[in-house]
Amino acid sequence: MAFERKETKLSTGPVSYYKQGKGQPILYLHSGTGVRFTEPLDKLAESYTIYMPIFPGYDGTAAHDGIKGGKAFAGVLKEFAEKEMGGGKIDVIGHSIGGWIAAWLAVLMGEQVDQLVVVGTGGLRPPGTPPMPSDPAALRKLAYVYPEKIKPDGRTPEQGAENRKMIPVYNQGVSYDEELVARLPEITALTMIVHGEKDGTIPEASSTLLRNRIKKSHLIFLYDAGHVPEVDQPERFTRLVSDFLSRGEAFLVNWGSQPPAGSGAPAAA
Amino acid sequence: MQFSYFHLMPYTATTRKPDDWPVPNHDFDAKVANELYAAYIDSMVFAESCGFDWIGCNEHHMSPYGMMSNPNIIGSALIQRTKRAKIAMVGSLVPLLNPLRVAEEYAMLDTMSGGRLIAGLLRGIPHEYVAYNVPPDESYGRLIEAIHFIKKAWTSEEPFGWEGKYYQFRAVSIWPRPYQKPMPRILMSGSSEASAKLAAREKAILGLVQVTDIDATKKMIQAYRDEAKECGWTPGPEDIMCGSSCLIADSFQEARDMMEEGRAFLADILGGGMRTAQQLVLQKSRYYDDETKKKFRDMRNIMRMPIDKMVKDKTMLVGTPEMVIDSIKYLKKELGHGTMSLSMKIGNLPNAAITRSLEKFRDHVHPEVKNL
Repeated sequence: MAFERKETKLSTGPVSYYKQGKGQPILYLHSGTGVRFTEPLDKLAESYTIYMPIFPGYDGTAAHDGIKGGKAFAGVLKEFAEKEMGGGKIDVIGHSIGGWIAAWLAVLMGEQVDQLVVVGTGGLRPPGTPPMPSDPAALRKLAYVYPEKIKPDGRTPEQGAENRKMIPVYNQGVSYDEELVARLPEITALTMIVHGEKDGTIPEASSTLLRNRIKKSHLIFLYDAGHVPEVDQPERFTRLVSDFLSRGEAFLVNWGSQPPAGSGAPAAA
Repeated sequence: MQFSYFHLMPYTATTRKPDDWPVPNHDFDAKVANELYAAYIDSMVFAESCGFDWIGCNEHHMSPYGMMSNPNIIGSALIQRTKRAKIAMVGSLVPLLNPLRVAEEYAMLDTMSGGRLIAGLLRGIPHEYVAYNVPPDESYGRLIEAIHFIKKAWTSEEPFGWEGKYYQFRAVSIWPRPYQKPMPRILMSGSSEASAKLAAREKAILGLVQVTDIDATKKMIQAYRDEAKECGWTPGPEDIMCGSSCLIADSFQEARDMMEEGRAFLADILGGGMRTAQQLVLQKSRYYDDETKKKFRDMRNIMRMPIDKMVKDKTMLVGTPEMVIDSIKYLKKELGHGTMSLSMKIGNLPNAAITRSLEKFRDHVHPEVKNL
């Protein structure tokens, strides 16, 4: 099984996306680095249909004049979900800047977002927190516990730099999105906030803020993981996200190795 | 300098020389143990009035070596009867335990005592892993993860879950939270270079409960200092605790004779079964690396190391008040530590002798060394 590349036309322009899997739809929103194909995504695709849009302007795609900031892009993604993902309820996973946009999407789509997973969420850096370093090498050192686990993504350093140039388009220079903070209580989706215990890029306060403001939310620290738990701890990340998505609120309950009959939950590995 | 009165709470009403493990408890007399607990707690409370700044408890299992299978229970009793002294848990053997329970119990002790807890988070000695059926090879991994989890349980501003290698918790929000902010001071063992470095990384007090070799101890302290520097902080004297066996009497001969008898009891009676299990763990696991394993074998001989040599090396504080003052000053000069842990109940040393030793510490030793 592999991701298939597709394209759709939305009100602001064409959007390329990757699709893989079967089952309930999940919208996956990538980080500022760009699309990353990881082991957890392949595993999740065994039970879910994953849609992974390439943010316009990334990886050689055309930027959209109508997209300035996370909220604006979330509006476009709402359109994407309605057009390409069946129009029903969806789950959303967002990483870093993608987590920020995912939170906006959950605000804008209301109950249409069933479950939300945000990982190392950007855009909520409390005032006074030192900014992230702009040097890619320094950033990498802070972001990964096990950089040796990073698989080549096929991008040249120049392509990586071009992707990073798009970050200001999506964050508009905002490090603390006050409007989003004010609207977080509107999120009705059951939410899991994942924070790599050794994340050197996103302050823990960003994740505790989400836990404090989103009504039905759970904050989980992923041990021995940095900003990209999918890479640092792929098995642990998969176990956690699968459990949350399949069992909902009941993921708090330890069912041992045999889940109750009819729960729909997979047996523990 | 601060002083800690460290106690093992041994069960001394036995003369059986065990070499099996766990040590059979046929001979255990609950009435005797009841009296011993009372006497030991009295002694620990008395130590506070003799100038001790900390009272040290510790955890051991399944032998007469120590009756504190859960030191927090003793800590709880001490909190009710002391006012000033820190209650130093030296400490919970974290890899054997549920770390959430450790976080909760320590937070209780800290709150009940008004912030007097020193939170020892230790790996323990090998035989404890047999007792609790925990793989010894996982001891370091479990310790490190548990420490990170416990810190989070103490400090997180919101309820949280933990997805770890050894521990998974989906919903944590402890009540009470610790009294000390952001958290109680942590103490970790520095019995090997790796342990000393780990203590530095966790910004813990380095605990060297039994100094047996000045040069080796200096090496551990240096490893701790170097690692701390790498981590961006500089340890002060208050960050280092060194310990020694101690008995103060009117004459060296009197103290020496009593200590010799107590040490023989410790080696032959109290420590017998433990050694069997330790050997097994050391042979069958990677609990210690080769260098530490060798050191540990040497350590087993410490119980039989001649007193006179240890007194001469000033690694055992046995003798008159003047001799003990001299040794404490020497150790301070050599090691630069800020807390000195003294263990007086060695083997079956009579409780009355220990009370006299405490009085001499109060009247003669403490006034001379407290400002070091």
